[in-house]
Amino acid sequence: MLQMKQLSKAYRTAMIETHALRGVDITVREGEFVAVTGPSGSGKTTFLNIAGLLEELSAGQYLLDGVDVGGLNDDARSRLRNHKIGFIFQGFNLIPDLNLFDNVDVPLRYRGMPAAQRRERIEQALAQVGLASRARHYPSELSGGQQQRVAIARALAGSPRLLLADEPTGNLDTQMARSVMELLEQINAAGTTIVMVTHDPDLARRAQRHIHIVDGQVVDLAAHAEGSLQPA
Amino acid sequence: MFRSMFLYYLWLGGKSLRRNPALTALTVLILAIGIAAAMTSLTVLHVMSADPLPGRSDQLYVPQLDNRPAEDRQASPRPDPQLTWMDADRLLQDARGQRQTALYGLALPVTPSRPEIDATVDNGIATTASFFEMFDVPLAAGRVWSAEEDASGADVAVITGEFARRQFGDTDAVGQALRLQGRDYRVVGVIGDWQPLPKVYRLMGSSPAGPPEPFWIPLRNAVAQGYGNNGWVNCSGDQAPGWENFLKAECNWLQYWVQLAPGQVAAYRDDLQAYAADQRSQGRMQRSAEVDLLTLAQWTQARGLVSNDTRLQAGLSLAFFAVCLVNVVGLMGAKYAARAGEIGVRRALGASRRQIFWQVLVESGVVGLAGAALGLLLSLAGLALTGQRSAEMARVAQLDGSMLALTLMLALGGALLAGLWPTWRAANVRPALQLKTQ
Repeated sequence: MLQMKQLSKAYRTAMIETHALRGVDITVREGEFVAVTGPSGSGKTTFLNIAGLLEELSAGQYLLDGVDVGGLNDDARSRLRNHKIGFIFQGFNLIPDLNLFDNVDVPLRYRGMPAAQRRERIEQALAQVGLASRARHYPSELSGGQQQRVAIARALAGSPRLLLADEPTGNLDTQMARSVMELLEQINAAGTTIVMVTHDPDLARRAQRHIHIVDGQVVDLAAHAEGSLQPA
Repeated sequence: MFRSMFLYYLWLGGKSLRRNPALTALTVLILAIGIAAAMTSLTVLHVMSADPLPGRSDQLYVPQLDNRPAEDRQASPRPDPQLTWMDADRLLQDARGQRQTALYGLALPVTPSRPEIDATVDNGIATTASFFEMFDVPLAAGRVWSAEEDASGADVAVITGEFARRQFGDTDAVGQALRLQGRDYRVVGVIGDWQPLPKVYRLMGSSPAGPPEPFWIPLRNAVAQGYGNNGWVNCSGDQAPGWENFLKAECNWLQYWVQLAPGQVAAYRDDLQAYAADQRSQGRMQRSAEVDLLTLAQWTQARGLVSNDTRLQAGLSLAFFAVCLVNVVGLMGAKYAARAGEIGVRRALGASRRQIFWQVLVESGVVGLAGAALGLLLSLAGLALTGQRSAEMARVAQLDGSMLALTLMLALGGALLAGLWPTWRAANVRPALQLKTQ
């Protein structure tokens, strides 16, 4: 599903150059649930942003579902992102003045999907996260856990092959976090590949595999393959 | 796809207006004030510089002869804009153009035609029958006096509809007697809806924004009766007293118009030149035998129809509009900067830079539409205030269809222009950075 070869990312200013990722080799197979861990500033989010085509890589190669994204222009990258990738963020990132229906509608709009098909998908996605009856409510009227479920519905509505989650439970209490995690596991069980960045070792253990990044490099991948993680 | 996305962007634009009402209101208000200021002065400029005779203006010319004395050192570079009776009479008789006319202003006492109205002194025009065709004057009733009535100087008159109602009430004015300066004139025609603006046929001795004169009588009748000119007279040389002597003097007081087909212009100029040379040989026109043949546009320009003050005011109001736009750029920039997070989310969900650019630009257009609506209201209020200064200004300060369209274009164009920079910035938001800082 996702294959990165010798991938590097450097941020350059006039004075300094910061290497966020250094020659990373990562492969995520179709249907996997992978946790990405590492200390703050290690390059986890950079990895996720590159995986989600939100950042361009500085060197190396990235194949997304067999497509080399290196030479794609913004239109092509956006189309690929829209069709193949769903995002879940720590801060939910719902658009506050759109109701739940219209929030879930956003990625479908950019896909140019007909209205009837969009409606069906939105209702289906909201039903999947248990919020079908709240479609006309606004994000501010929901709890944090409910907002994250809407964000998941939004990510799912386009039937992405890859779901990228950046600390999806970071802003939630334990009970809500568990509920969201269970939802992600259901989604993965249904066949969607999930890559989740997390600081939480308990959550990481629930993934099928995890990748540990330190100083922009994947470290001791084999040693961590069984999930013996310590808190970051 | 394009249509549905455009409608989606419009819908988002409408929502965006309500998102930050104070900022939106301020942006719309600044845009509207700029538009209103620009439109109020541009309307005056537009009306005064408009083509008063579409389709005819390129056929009308004003001949000018230089009959100033040779020793006149203080004279302006241009000859007098009017002609003497001698020249006007001769050119009318020669009739070298398709049509030609001469005219001068009158101010005559009018004996009331009904007991319930008072005696007045009203303005009128003495001219020839050709005038009505040359200036496309519509008639609501009756006819224009004939060429024979013109030549004989018959006691006939054409009057405006308003003057007809004042003098004769509901009675049909055609055939009625109109008593001017104690003499009866038979009304042969009533002018229909005719409000030439600017009033190019008489830019001297009359306001360019004034209404048409109430009564019109044959030129030769007015001259025969010795009706004096209610307008500019510019005399040079010795002048003996009396009307007959005035007609023979080097006094310029008649406005002269000739209608020429495109192929006639050069020949007419030659004829005019030959006439001037002939007059010079007879001892007149000693300063110069050069002639001029002004187009309608040259004539209005030479008469300073659009004053420098009007131009300056229009320029300043456009500059003010530009300053307003600069402020709108800042406000829109602030608005879109506050929405960088949302734009980042949209990018993450699959919106391309191009789509974000169009979305935000359409939102700017929605602001422009709101600004246009309010700007239009403020423009109308500004024009109403301008119109209160005088009856003439009230006629000038009217927003026509083209100015309405210009208001809309100015508002939309201005808002889109002002939105370009913030839009470009919004479209180039780095989504990864915004998502992290959400």
